[in-house]
Amino acid sequence: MSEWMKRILDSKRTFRSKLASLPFEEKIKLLEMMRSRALEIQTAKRI
Amino acid sequence: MKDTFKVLNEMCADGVIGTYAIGGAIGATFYLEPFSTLDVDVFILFGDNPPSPLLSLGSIYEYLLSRGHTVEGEYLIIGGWPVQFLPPVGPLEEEAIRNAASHLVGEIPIRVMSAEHLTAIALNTGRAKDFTRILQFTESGILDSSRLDGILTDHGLLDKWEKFGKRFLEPDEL
Repeated sequence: MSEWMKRILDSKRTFRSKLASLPFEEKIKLLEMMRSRALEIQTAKRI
Repeated sequence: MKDTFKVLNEMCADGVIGTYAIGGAIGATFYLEPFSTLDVDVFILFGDNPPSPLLSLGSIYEYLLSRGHTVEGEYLIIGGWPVQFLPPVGPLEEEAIRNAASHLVGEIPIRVMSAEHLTAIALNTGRAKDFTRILQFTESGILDSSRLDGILTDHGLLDKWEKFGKRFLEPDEL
């Protein structure tokens, strides 16, 4: 694996770990946003 | 989603369900980064001597519909979220419900399956998305390995775990 790819994966890991450490109440807000987006995408696909 | 949790607690208090534990993606989100999911999986145990799982699910529907909640396919819509009520399919899920930890979300208490039980259930279920979740759990470093070992041993999942490890956790030789 190239150094560049390692750095990309490390930065993703760091971001995920930052999200994981959020309080659950904050995560709920993100879950609700992600669900709304998923539903919008589903609706758009049906058109 | 907080409204969903409130209703679950009311159902317990009113004796419609014995106890419950949040599992699936929402349960995993308690420990990991949030996952995009469309529904809430609520694993339930009924109180003492329930007539049968089907009749008991019927009483859940009756209780919720009479309070203005609605049905959409196999889901009950509670607090704007589709909720699926899942009786345990075996001793692993039953243990996961009984041993769920209580947490506070704001002022609302909720019961969430442990990270180790969620991992064992994902291993047992064995879909691609379950394997992804197991990898996220192992990478996060939050799993208590002796607790996980105990669960995997008790439920005959050590072979599956070994296969999973060989496939996904050993260094890539490419």
